[in-house]
This record gives sequence, C-alpha cells and structure tokens, in this order.
Amino acid sequence: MDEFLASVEQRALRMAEFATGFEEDAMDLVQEAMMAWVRRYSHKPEEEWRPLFFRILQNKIRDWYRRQAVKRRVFGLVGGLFGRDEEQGQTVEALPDPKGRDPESHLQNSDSSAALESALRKLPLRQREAFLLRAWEEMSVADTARAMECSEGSVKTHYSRALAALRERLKEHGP
Amino acid sequence: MNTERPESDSEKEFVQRAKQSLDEGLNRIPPQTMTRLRKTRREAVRQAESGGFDIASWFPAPMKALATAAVAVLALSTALHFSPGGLTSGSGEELELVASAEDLELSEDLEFYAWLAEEELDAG
Repeated sequence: MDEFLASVEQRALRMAEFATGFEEDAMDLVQEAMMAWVRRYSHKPEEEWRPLFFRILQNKIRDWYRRQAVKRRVFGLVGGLFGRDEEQGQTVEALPDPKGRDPESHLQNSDSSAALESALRKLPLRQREAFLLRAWEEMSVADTARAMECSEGSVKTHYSRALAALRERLKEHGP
Repeated sequence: MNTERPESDSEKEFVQRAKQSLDEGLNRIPPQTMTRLRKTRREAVRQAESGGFDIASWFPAPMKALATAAVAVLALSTALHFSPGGLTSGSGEELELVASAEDLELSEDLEFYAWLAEEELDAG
C-alpha cells in the first residue's frame, strides 16, 4: 500500500496542480484523496487500486471546482475568473496560471516543458483528465473510464481532442 | 461519439515527449512538498494498518445533530448577509452543498490534519 501510494503521489500532486492552479490546494486534494482511498478501497484487489485512487482524486478536483463556484456566488466575488467547459458545462477552462504564464510566452521562450504545463492548464477538465491518465499514467482506456466515471468512448473522444489541442498549441516545439 | 483513431507516428512521438517532459517536472517539486507528501502517505498507511479512526464516533448523537444544525445556521446567515438580493432560487442548492458536502469526511479527517500540523511544527 505504501509502495502504491508512493508510486502515484507525485503525479497526483501535479495533476491536481494543473487543475487548481495552486500547489497548496493541490496538496490538500491529494491528502484528501489518499485518506479517502485508504478508508474506502485499500481492501480491494491491487489491480483496482490505481483507477480507484484516480477516481477519488478526480472527484476531489471536481468538488474543489464546485466549492469555488459556491464561494463565488455566496460571497459575491467577481465572476468570470473561469471559462466554461463546453462539453460538461463545468467551470474549468482558462484557470489562471499562478505564475501568470501562457502558452504563447513559453513558445517564445522555447521553454517546451513549461509550455506543455501551461497548455495543459488551458484544457477543459475532462480532456486534461483523459490525457494525463492515458498518456502520463499510462492507464488503459477501460481503467481511465473507471477513473473518470464515463464510457470508454468518452475517454477516447476526450483524449483525442486533448491531443489535437495540445499539438496545435505546441506545434512550434516539434511533432 | 468515439473519435479516437490509431495514433500516427508523430502523435506517438508527441505523447512520448510530453510524458518525458511531465516526468522531468516531478523533479521540480519543492523538498518541503515532498516531505508533506511522504508524511501524508505514511499516516494514511498507518491508519489502514490500525483500522483507521472515526472521530464522529467520539461524540454522542445529539452533539452531532447540534453541530450539523450549527453549520446549516452559519451557512444560512452567511448567505443572507453577503447576498445583495437575499436568497435566490439557486441558494437552496448551494446551502445544501455547503452544509452537507463531505462535512462528515472533514470531521473524520480533523485528527489527521491536527497530527499533520503538529508534525510540521515539530519539523519547523
């Protein structure tokens, strides 16, 4: 169990950071995901651990977005900080980069790594989830569908769109 | 609609480079963050091995009901105070979210967060 959590904790933190834009919030989400995973699913067969852990993490991230939406409405803070996910109706797109970066500036700086991270932040939530789980976490389509709680067809669609969007935004950095 | 098709060589190369780049990004996680991750993981494993804890079970049922009511009242008064036009049609949904969403989980995690804070104070 310790070995499993150690194997996913860093990527989980970065995924949460791409989603929230803030390291502190990301850290909290990973903590919550670890605790919830241990409570609910650690007794499950090991082959199920990875999709279940990332399902919890993605749910925590979505809860984070909902809390942000509630805070904005209840406290009447300035709206328009977040765009709309055209596919899910979620307020996820165009989260501000905490360091004020954007893909274009990174292209100019030839900083492909930072440009990729910035472009990932610009993706709609579901596309980013599909890309990170499939490409980075190397999960199968079936496991990714379990983690995202959607059909395998939806995973393929989100992944394909994410890949196309990232390649378009980062085309100056190579294939 | 399923729009996935077999990846071309250039797409495979892009994904491979992206993965490598993301992996390299892990090396930039600050040491203090790595320390927190490690502590969190160890505590999670400790709880799993010890059967976990349920802080909610420490309190009698009436106290839990009182705490829930207090949260609801606080949420309601906050919404009334800060909402310029009073409660709107969407307020009920938001109040439900504020008052109920994972508050039990939060209470269950309180001991853990207290422990984590103590650990960080000790370390600092």
